[in-house]
Amino acid sequence: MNPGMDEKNRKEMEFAEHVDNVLAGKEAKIDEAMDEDYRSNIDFAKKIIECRGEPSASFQEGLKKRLLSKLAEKEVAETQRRSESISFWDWLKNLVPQSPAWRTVAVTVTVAVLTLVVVWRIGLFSPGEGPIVTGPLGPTVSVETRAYTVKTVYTTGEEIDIRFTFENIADETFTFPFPPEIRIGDLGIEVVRAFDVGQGTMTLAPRQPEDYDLTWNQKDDTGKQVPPGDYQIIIPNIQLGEGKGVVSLVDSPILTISNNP
Amino acid sequence: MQTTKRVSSKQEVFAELYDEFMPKVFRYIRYKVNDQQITEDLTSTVFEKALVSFERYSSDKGAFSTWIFSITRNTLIDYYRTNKMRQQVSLDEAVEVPSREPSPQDEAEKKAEQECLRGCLLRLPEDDQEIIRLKFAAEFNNRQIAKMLGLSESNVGVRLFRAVKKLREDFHESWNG
Repeated sequence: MNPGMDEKNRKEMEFAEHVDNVLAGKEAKIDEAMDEDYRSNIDFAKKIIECRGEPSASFQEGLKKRLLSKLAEKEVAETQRRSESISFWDWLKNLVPQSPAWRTVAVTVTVAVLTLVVVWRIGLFSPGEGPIVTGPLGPTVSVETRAYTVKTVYTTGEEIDIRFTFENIADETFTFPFPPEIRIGDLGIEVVRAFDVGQGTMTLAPRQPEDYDLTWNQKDDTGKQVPPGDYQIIIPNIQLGEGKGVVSLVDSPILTISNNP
Repeated sequence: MQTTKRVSSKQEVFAELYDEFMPKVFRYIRYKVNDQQITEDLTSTVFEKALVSFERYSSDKGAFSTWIFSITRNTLIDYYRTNKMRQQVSLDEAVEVPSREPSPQDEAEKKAEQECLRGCLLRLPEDDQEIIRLKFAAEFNNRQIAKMLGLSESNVGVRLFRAVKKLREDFHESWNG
């Protein structure tokens, strides 16, 4: 190992600690043995800190007030929703007979009905149909994508605004290429227009949703107006890594393009 | 009789997190965007988004800092995607380094110097910019930065040192002309 290189790396790593001290308002004690380059970097770090933009007090307070007021409104709405839900359960509870004997009868009947429903659903009452064969399970969806449009029927030539929401439903942060490849296809899955995958990336923390807007001008990949008919939006699944699931389009509308206004 | 105003714990938690992270988010965006007003708008957007999904945020699933800076980075990506022209303007501004006019007012000179430094920062490679923003604006320690960028802690230290050195040299060359 080259001792000169070790010393250089140590110096570079200590630099971050010095910066942390300066950021914490402490005096950065610089080792006398440190070279000019190091000292200059520490001095310059102070300049970078000085050049940070600071939010004005009025902006800081105003935004806080607005956000907390929204949060309070949300809480009131949530409390109201819960109390309505509690009323429903109270009503349901009143349906159950209060006498222990009748309560036992009610529970027994409910369990019997549920058992019959389950047995019927798994096909035990259809001996001629043979056993149910389940197909292979699809990949786990970790990021759900949904596409929305304001309407589903458009006249020829009308621009179609599509909003995509991406929501990380898993418990870890994911980063994936963004915007993803988006295709418009007819119902025979022939792709008429493909929007290539973007150069950027999107990082989604657990439970974080993000939106992306796209406008389709009804032109195909050669720039020609597509014929009237039904079209669907397709986003190929994006693998998030070994065993980490996929980004998948779970809901999207069928778009109809019509000659009639 | 003493009365106390009851504040719900969720509001208290959000207010505390806001007080701690809002200035950091603001500074992070300000290093990237050369406009105070746009920085305020984007900071508001970040916290509005955080508020919408705050119900679903749980500290068991990750640090708030990681979560809020994911939202911040994505908000900036969205901003530049929908304002491609503005990005161009911002980069043009970055290239145009103010000349060092002798000014009787120290304040004006300091401001020009800071503008020059911000411009130089925007000229650094994106990786170097990001590590400087995460250290100096978000005030993350090396371990947090390493986790966010997928690097080792020692690598973060080395890259930070080199990014600051690069910025220092570019700044001196621009400023002293």
